[in-house]
Amino acid sequence: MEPLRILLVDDHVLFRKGVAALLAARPDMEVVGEAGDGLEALARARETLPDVILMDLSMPRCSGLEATQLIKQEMPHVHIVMLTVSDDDRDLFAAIKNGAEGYLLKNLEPQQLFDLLEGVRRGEAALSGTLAAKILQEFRQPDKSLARQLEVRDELTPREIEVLKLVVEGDSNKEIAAKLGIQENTVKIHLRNILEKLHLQNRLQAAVYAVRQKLVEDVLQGQ
Amino acid sequence: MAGDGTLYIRGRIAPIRRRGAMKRIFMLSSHPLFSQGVESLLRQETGLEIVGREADADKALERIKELRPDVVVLDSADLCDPMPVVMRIFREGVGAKIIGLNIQDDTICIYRGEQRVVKGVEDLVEAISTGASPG
Repeated sequence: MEPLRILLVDDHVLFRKGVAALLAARPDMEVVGEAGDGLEALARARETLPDVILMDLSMPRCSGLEATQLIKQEMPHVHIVMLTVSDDDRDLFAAIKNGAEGYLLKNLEPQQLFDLLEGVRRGEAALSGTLAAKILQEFRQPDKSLARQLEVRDELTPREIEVLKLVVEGDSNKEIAAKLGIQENTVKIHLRNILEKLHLQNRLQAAVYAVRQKLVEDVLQGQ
Repeated sequence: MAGDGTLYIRGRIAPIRRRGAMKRIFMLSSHPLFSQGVESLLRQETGLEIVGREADADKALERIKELRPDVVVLDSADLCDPMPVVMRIFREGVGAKIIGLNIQDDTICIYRGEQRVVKGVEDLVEAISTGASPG
């Protein structure tokens, strides 16, 4: 398999170089560029067209949130995963709204980061454990601004709703396929259709939508 | 073969000689991605050796006493006040240089554990005036 091409964006030099050194030791990953702020990130992203951008939040000149929005508008296929010390809800939701596929806290283990990056390659959302619960909790409360933007669009089929429920539970495509007794590729097709129908950009937004639309009541009650 | 044997012995001797000048480093951090990243950067430098890593301050102190590293690198963002830990390391008298890193920003803090006996006011004045000036 081709190595996953990663762009590292962080103004903290030691942290960035350290993560770069850890990734460099892995044959399945390649650091194609580094940037110290959001504007540099945009420039490097244009040059290198990475598979994934690991993006810090607070940086001089142009923050990670602004950069995410700019890069997503121009290069929607580039996956962006925030990697930050901020566990502030507002940052988390702003990042999702701006199109980030993941939100990780800097206190994670290197191996967790590698596994989550592998997941991003397969189209899965990358979330630090406690943050997934936070998202569910947030969308249990009505009339949140992001939730309101995710209004009902086209009707989903019962099968698509089943898939969506498992997405909310945090299952990977492989796990969803096993639980529903279908092929992993079929799961991917269902997901693509779900995103298209709902005009959403990624799996994480779909999970948020599902909770907001109360498609997953039983999951919430199970918490 | 004799030639191979000679080479092998030379190869063994060289690192042992260099070992004398090796700086032995211990890391105290609860951000594994950060500390292991820094560790992997330091491993690329010659003359530096990472002898241990610990996330918990109490456990770290035990191991520092045992390992007696030349340098302790601690992640100051972990501790709301790093000074008590720094003071405990100084008090153990292991003579390690203590360097504080911060995952939140790009600062490095070097803690100095100098102690002097005061014989007169001039000792205090001298200590104050020989301290590093700001900037």
